[in-house]
Amino acid sequence: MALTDHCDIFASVHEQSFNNIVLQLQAQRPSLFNYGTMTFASHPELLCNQTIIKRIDPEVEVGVFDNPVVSEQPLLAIPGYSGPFGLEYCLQLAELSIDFHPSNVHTLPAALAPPLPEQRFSLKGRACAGLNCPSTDLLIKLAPNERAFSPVIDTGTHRQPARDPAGNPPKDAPLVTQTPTRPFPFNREGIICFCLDLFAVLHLEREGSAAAPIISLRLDNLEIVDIEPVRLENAVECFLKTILIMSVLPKVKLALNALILSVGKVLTIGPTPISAAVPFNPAIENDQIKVFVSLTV
Amino acid sequence: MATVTVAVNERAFNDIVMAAAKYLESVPPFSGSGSFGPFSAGYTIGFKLTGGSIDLTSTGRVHFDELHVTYDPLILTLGLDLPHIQFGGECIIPNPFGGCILRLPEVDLFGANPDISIPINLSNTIVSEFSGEFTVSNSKQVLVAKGSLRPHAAHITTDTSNEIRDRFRTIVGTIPFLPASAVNSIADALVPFVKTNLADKWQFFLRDVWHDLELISISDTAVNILQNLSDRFIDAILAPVPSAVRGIIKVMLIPIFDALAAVLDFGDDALEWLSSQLQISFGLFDLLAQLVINFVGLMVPFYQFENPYPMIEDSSGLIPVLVPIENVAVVVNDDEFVASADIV
Amino acid sequence: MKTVINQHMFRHRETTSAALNNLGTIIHKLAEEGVYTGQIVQGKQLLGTFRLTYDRKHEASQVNIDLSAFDALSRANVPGLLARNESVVGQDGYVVFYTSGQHSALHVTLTKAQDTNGRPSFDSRKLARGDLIALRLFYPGSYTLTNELGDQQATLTVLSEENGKYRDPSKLEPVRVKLSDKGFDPAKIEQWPLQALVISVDTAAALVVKSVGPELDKRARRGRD
Repeated sequence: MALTDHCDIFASVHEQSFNNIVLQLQAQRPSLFNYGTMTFASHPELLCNQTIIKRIDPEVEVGVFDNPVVSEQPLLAIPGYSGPFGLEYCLQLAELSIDFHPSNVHTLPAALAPPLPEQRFSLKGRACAGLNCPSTDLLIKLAPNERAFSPVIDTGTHRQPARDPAGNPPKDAPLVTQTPTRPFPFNREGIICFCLDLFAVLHLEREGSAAAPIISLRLDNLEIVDIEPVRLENAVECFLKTILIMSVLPKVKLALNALILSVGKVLTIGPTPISAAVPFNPAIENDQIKVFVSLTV
Repeated sequence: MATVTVAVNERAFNDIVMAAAKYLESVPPFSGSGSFGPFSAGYTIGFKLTGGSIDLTSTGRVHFDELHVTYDPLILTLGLDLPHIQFGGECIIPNPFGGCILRLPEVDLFGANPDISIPINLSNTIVSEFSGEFTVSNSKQVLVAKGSLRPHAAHITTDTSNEIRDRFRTIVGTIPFLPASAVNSIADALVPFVKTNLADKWQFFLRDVWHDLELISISDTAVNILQNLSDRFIDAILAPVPSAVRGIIKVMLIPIFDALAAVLDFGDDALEWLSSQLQISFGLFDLLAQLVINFVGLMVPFYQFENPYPMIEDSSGLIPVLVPIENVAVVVNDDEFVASADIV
Repeated sequence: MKTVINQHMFRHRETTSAALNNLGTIIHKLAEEGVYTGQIVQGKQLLGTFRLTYDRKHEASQVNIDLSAFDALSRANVPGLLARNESVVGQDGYVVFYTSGQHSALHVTLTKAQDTNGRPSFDSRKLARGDLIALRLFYPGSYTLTNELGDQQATLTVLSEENGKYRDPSKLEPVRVKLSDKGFDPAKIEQWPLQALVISVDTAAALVVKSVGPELDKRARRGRD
């Protein structure tokens, strides 16, 4: 059977290609995957997940062209503290991979009811985060020396509210009033790292009218592995699912008409219409995404 | 198993040919001119593909089947640098000892620099047919000039070497009858199609197995025009002469007309003439086409892309993301043309 | 398309020696050595002047003077056309006046420089003994040839094609005619188009060639005869 039995042009991309491209991106544009505050940005060897850092060859490409390994982020502000200090942290997308049906790249968690159904694909992401935790002694030493609290007993005599002679804001003011500019002295032993694995199952769906079909990405299910307690996991998953369905995925829609190309006003190239012979276009099968294209003169 | 596959079927190829045919109609005609001794020729030529198909064969070839090329417009402007024709000069008083004492003055029949040109409209009158078979092959070009450069450095370094030019010159230089200057100019003209940066390239070539370009039809109009070409010249030359004296001027122009007839009279069968006289040119063209197709098949790819492939180009100082592509292969079978590769 | 044949050549059917055009050529034989001043006049307008030296020892037996070359407009339009403001002729001193352009009503005079009376020694309006006039007609037909200064007349026939063909003018000898007080000899002249007709003048002459009608086709003429 020919690849173009039911179309004029056929193209397929294997999941391995996508996953290799992600690996190349991690190696050649690491700042897309690694985020951190100043110390992490200047010392990528302190990042939590070193697997993707080792994939970079800083001496040759990224290094020679002086590209950043880490996208530098501002210090993490401390709620209720208005001084200059902030916490240092890092965040990494340590792994991102795709698995087209049938599932053979990911081992889906039981919560996603493996095996992967037909015309579905799964995404796996591993996010790692780290916080440089200052010692308690240091925190005490650097904590602001606030005025002692003097309770006022209401004796029925009306008084003006007590004023801070230093001009500090009243207690109902915003929690953070100053962007942190100084990190706590970095404590290599104080880096606390954790990683979360996230799986999502998705599929492509056709919607819209026959005249103006649209391809959209639909989330079937989502699972974050091993967060305790379970209700915290459920809450986080619910939150992420809400973000994806309400905010992210609606934006990932493709009007198929936009894919119809007119070459020199003489040749029209567009997706092959859905039929019994081509029930899915694009189709997700055999570990590939397949696209069927028709030409019209 | 290849990780990226693209297949194009026979119908798509034919659609592309039809699209090319329509596209050709929108391409402005080409013009040029040249001189050959006393003759000069200018042309304005455009092409229309009016038939033909492309078959993919089980032997792995792309078969162009009877592509009919109609020349429209086809306007030839033939020019002729005429010799001076003088009359007079008769001896009135001969010298009894030899020579002449008195002669009448000579008068030039023409102006200062006699030449003439006539436009010949042969649009839509001549059809030729192209058939041929090609194989599709691919190879990876690795330039010596790249040396030990890493992919990103090779990608951003313009190829300033003469490696491609010299290679082309060597290949073109094997044509036996071409002078060195022609070799160099042909090779140099093709270089810009291939030469870019120092990155490796996957290149795809159409290699000629056989081809045939022949004249298949010429309309009666064209036959008539060609048969009467010398008459058209004569009419053009005599146009300013009053009819009452045309006869005598014709007599004076007999040497010119004889020369014209010798060159431009094609006998009764213009098709035969094109197949013999001009067909010699077509034959030469065919030979040159063979050579060009062969050498272009070795030199100039119909498509090429860098390896590693720049998937995301340079942005705000960041290096491009180059994705290595290996195991590139092309296969032609009865149904389709299949190109495959691995992203590694 | 470029027009290349000099169309001016076909402009005239008739000519006169006193008002010359491209159909006639006047040849004057200088009698005395010396320096002459020439004047070329078109109608009543002076077209140009030239100096002509006659020195028998000079090698050239004739000098050709193209009267059209004295017209600045002609010189501008015809590359290579130069007015000969200075000419020298030797031996028997033949001066040949002709015009290559479209001009008509031309006449020329020659006045010897040392001649104190200022009268021209030659005036093409009144040819004299020893002068020659050559006619070269393009159009077939019947003509009369008249000397206005003596009433002599001849008939001139410019032949039409014979069996669909003309004779090649370059292979034809000039037709020769004498003009004397008695008349033209012969008085009935036949010539082919462009064939030179050379008339030796033996009396005062101002020749006029007038067309009297198209020449009959030779075959028709023979049939009529």
